[in-house]
Amino acid sequence: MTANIATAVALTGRRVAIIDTDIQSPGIHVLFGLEEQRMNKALNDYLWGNCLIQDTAYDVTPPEVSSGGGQMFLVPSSLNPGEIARVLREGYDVSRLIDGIRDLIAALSLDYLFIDTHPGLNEETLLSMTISDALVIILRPDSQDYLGTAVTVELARRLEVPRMLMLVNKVPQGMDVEAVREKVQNAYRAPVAGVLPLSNEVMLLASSGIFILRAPRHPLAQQIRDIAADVVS
Amino acid sequence: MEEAVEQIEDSAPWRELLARERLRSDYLMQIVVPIGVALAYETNFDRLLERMLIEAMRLCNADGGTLYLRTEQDSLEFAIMRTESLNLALGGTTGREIPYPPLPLHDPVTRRPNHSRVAAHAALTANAVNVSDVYLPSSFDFTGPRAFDQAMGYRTKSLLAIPLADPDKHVTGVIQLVNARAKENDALVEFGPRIQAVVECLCLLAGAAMTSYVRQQKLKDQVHQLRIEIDQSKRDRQVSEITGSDYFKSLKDRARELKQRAREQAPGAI
Repeated sequence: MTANIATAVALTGRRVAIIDTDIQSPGIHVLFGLEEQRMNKALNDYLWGNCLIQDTAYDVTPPEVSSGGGQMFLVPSSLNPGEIARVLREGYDVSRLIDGIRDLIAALSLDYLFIDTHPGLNEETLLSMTISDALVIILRPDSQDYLGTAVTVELARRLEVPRMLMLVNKVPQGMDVEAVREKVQNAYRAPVAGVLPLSNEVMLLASSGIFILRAPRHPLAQQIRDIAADVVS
Repeated sequence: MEEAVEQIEDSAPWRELLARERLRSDYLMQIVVPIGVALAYETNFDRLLERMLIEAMRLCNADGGTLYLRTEQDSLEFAIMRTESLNLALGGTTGREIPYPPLPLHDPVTRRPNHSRVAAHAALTANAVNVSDVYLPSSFDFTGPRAFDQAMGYRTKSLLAIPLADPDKHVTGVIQLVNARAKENDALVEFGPRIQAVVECLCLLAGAAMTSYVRQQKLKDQVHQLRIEIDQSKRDRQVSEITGSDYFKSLKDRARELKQRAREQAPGAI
């Protein structure tokens, strides 16, 4: 979802980057077709002090974005199991991540930086929440998500995140969208940016590309564009 | 060989067959399919059921009909009843109850399938039943129609029962039509094979529309029951565990100063 929303923003001619802070289970690079062989440096290398943050940023601009004057960059996390284990075992200097995010914005002259986090709460998620201007919390209409979402919402309030939006994803087809929106809004006392249906087309795509580029006229693609406009408004 | 084919294609019986098939296909495309599409958009269940029966009756100029719904109690419940010549309209949006008990699909004691009643047989076999005259000897039990005739001063003659099924071929109901009438003079006639085929097509579309409606309603009911239940004490405990940590406390302070610095120097992060 982060990839799609960020791409929707980049399609409006903006310079956008995504940083994959899900160090435990990186994955967003797959959607952009960034192969492991091409990834000489990753976020982990920066955190260990081996390079500058901009050395870990890869230009992943799709043609549809560049033709609109936009540009996209991705800072991936390492896929190397040893690197992943090292971070989990030894941790890293949080200041370095904070500084890196600031430096990345400056070095690439970014209009927007999207921080993709690990599902659930960990130190990177909390850190991302504290330094962000807007937080989008994605949940499913599933009882497994309700408590965790409530904790995240409360923490976001304690961290004084300037703007918080809920995004309900994978809603069964045929469900009354407005009723779902109202229930989520009432439960979490936060605005709902979108209620997205469970989509067979997205499942069939199976993360092999960015959905809104593969199916720009699909109703779901329009919904994502609307959400993106709301997020950056 | 080619000459032989040409001779067949030029023959009157062949031309007649072609004309009939063309008429049937036009009928399906211009009448049946639009009805099916309209049914798919019906948002009121009672009106949907009524339209299904009324359109089926209209297709074959039937005087009467009954729409049964299969219940979870293994029976066929009378949902809609119509008889034009008697000005009889029960069930559905009329608000008038149908005074007949449901037809069991299996004998309540022996659990044997109830093949004696036409509608039940159609539901159990998922096949249409076409009867030319209910007063002729038959393996079916027509005491129901005959009792109706006696009570109402009516004469049931021809009968056509067609199952309604969902895409998994599970029978969800039956449409039973009574007394086909000739278009030119309303004389009672049999339900011919061609009109049976057309009504079966309609029932396919009607069954799909009904299944879709029921599925949508179930999902809507799920949303009404969609309760976002949050154990507040658990939430508070988990929040306290995190906010009470040194990490969280230091994070808050540092983030505040970093945000301030970032706003002064560069655009924001999301």
